[in-house]
Amino acid sequence: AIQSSRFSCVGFPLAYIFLACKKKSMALKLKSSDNKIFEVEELVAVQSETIKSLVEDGCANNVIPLPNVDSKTLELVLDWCKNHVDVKLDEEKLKEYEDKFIEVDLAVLYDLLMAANYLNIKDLLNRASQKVADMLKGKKPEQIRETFNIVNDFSPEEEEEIRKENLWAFEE
Amino acid sequence: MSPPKTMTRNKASTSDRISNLPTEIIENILLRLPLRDTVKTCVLSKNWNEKWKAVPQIVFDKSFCTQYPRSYNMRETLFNCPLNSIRFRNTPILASVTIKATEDFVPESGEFQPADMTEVFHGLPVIEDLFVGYNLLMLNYGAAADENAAVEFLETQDFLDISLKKLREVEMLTFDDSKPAVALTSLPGEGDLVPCDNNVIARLVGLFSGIRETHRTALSSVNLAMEEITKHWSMLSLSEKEGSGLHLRKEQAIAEYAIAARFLTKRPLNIEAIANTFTPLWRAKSGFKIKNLGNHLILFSFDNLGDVDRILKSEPWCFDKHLMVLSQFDKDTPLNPLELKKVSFWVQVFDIPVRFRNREVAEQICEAIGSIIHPTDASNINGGSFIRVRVRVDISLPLYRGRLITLEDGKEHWVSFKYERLPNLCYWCGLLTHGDRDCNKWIDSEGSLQKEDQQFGPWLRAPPFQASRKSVLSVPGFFAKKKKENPVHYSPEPPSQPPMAAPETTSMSTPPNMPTFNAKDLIRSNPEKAGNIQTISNSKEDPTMNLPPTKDFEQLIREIDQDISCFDHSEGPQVNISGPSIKSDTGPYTDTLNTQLNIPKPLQDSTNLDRSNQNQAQEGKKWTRIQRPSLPSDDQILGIPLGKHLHPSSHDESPPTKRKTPLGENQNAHPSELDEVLKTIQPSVTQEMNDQLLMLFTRIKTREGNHHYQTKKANLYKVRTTGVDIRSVPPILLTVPLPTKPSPPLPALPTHQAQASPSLSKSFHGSLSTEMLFCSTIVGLPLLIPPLLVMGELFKAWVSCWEHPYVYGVLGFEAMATFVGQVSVLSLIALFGAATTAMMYIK
Repeated sequence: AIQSSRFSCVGFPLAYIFLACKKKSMALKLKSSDNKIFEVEELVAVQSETIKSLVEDGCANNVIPLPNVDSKTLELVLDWCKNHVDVKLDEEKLKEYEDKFIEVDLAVLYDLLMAANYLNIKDLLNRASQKVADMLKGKKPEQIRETFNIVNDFSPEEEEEIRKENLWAFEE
Repeated sequence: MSPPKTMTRNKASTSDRISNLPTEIIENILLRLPLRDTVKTCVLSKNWNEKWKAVPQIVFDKSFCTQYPRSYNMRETLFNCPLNSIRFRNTPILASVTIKATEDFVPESGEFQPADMTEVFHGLPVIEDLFVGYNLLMLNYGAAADENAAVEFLETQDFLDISLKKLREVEMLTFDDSKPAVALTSLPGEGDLVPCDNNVIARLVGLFSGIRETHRTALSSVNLAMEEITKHWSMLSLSEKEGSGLHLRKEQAIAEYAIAARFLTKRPLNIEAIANTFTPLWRAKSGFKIKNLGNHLILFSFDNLGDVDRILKSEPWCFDKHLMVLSQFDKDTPLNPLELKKVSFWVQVFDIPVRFRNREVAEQICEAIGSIIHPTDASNINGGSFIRVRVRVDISLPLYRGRLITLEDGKEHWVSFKYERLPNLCYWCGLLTHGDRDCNKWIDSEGSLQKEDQQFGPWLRAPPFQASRKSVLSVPGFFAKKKKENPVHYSPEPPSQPPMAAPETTSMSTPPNMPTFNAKDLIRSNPEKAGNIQTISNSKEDPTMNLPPTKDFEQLIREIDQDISCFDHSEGPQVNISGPSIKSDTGPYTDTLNTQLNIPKPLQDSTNLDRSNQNQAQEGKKWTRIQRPSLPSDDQILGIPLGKHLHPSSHDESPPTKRKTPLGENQNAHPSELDEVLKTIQPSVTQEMNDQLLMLFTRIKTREGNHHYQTKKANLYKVRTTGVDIRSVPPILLTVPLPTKPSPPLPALPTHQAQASPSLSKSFHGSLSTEMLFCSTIVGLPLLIPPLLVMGELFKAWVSCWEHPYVYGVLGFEAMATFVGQVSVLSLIALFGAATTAMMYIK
């Protein structure tokens, strides 16, 4: 008995060292549509309701494929998430970051909107929507069409009729 | 935060991606636009034509209005706004409409009328949430706009015509949006009503019940707290009228005749106990219903008015020895417990000078107490030494003990009042609302008040008046009498033998106006007790009734006097209040008397009935009577009449009570009740009775401590002396264990189990643990070091440790943890080893 105890006594410190070396890093692996793998901490990733539900269901052991998001957008989204993990970050700083973050190309903005919608990240979606709304606000329909490349498929008569219907909105 | 112009020019794609965005994103974007811009999107393309109509929320606010050309004011804006002209055909649900005004934006007065909102709402589809800003209310109600104004605002909107069936929330917001003035949430569903004012609730319920009615949605699921409904009974009748499912009908269809009763007892009310108590007492023709309204209020509903009148006429009633305040319930007025404070009492007015002793004077005197009730039957007014007056007493005031009257010659005279069937009252302040133990005066004094300081006392109680015991008779002329048909029982006696006639000949069947010379003689000779001379038993079952008396008159009258003096002691000045008893066996009892014991036997609620009823109740019941060897033959005289009540100081003579309260029911086991119980023990005591007694004993003991137990024991002794055959009582009755019974000494523990321990410690070698500890650390360390050295880890660790000094702390902690772990393992091993050795040693 005494001999076996000596072995175990030696074994304990060894086990400690072994455990310390194999420190578990809680990381999730996300795979974008172009097969790039992003390793992020769980805390960052679960800001997306979609990923959060996956993690909670226990489906997040392997790589999580995100076929609707390309790597460029995913990088941006994850950057947003990382900056929104720390709630302690003061509001002014955060707002500054958001404003800077959202100053992007319209195409990227669409991508962000789609990604935010798909990943279900509320504040990103709202911020991006606000950005689009700002672009629409107070503009004439012609300006909007130009900005967003909307093709006017109304005939002039049709357009006139619609304008009449909601005259109050178009009166200057 | 306007978008930079460069952004829009710098477009990477030429495709129209925005039109193909998912609907929820488009909605999210449009939601953030002012309404006008939202509407404008309809001309962008065919694709966009209908998109804006799906917007779930419409906000009328400052930005909405200020965007308009100057020609529109707020009213016109709203009036001309899309809600009127546009058609939300494709929108199934408009999630919320917010009409919000901010602090810096207050529309000018008169600019906008609440009625205009109706127009606005007409164009709307189903609304789930409706937010109306506080400022809009201020337009019409000025600075005084509050919840009521908000509701009024809602009321002016004819919601019935609007399809609001999905309306879930109505919120009235204040400037800062922080505190909703009115919030009605989830109306059709679960119904959380969060308004601040009950009045507002009632109005809103009335308002929205109309909506429910049109849409056939059950409003019954709206959970209003019951008390709120009762508080706003009349408000809610509106919705009842409209036929909504609010369960009001049942409440309103209350029986035509109801009595509201306020119970003055402090203890919680048990409806079943109340039913058990009053069912035999009231004998309502077709029963009655009891409803607990809370707050010690009970509603008794009767089917016929006769019962109600009868009960109210025989006030006062008591429950749990405390007064009940009754009032015929008027359903038009809300039930306020504090308004129930008038109780009718029969007041006996004593010591009126004889020549003024009539009804008018007595009523005049009693006007100070309360309003006089003039009973229709005037026969029970004169009680001989007193005049009875029915007075409605305000119980919120102390009882009147008497009144000083001034006679013609300027002499002042004290007239004292006694109250019939007076329940527990506070002897400190004379209020009926609490007992003297609950009196603030007593509590504040912290026990320093002496019993002698009590301003009120049991002397306020009058003995129950018994109409059958005629104390006043009007006698016609002697010769006129002879012409009348004489009753059978009447046999004229010569004046020399009046006592024979008095107790014997006048019985229940005797007409009250039957002339007797004897009674008159007695009144003259003994005016104090005259009222009670005619103590006649009305119990027809009494077999001793018709037996000729065997004692001579002098002895008989003396015994009657003794008994009378016991319960009428306060009537004459020569009788001591504390009632020194003639009997000798009260010694141990009176010694241990305390205040509570001095309280007379409270009315057992059973004396409130007509005598005929009582006789009915008694039928079939045999009254046990204690054998009293000292007074063997007076039972037939004393037993029955005194049995109508029980007086404090007559505890040793009084026969059993008419109705014995069930032992288990009355928690307040009063000492005098125990007395009754003990007295009712017949020589043939059954085991059940004995058990009940034992229960009673233990309860008193635990409630009131040892002292009362001693008192009971004394009484027990008394029972023995008064003739209960103690031999037939099982001995357990007499050996009730005292509460401070010492627990028996614990049995000695079996010793053979503990024998192993000394050998265990003996076999444990101190050197063993030291050796193992040495081996595990010193020998283990060299095994660890080489591999670390070889891998270079040790060096790396050394360097990084210098950089991060906290590592030392961690290392130290880990070393400690390792050491503790090792020691615990070692001690386990040592224990096992020692045990093994010990086994061998024993063998």
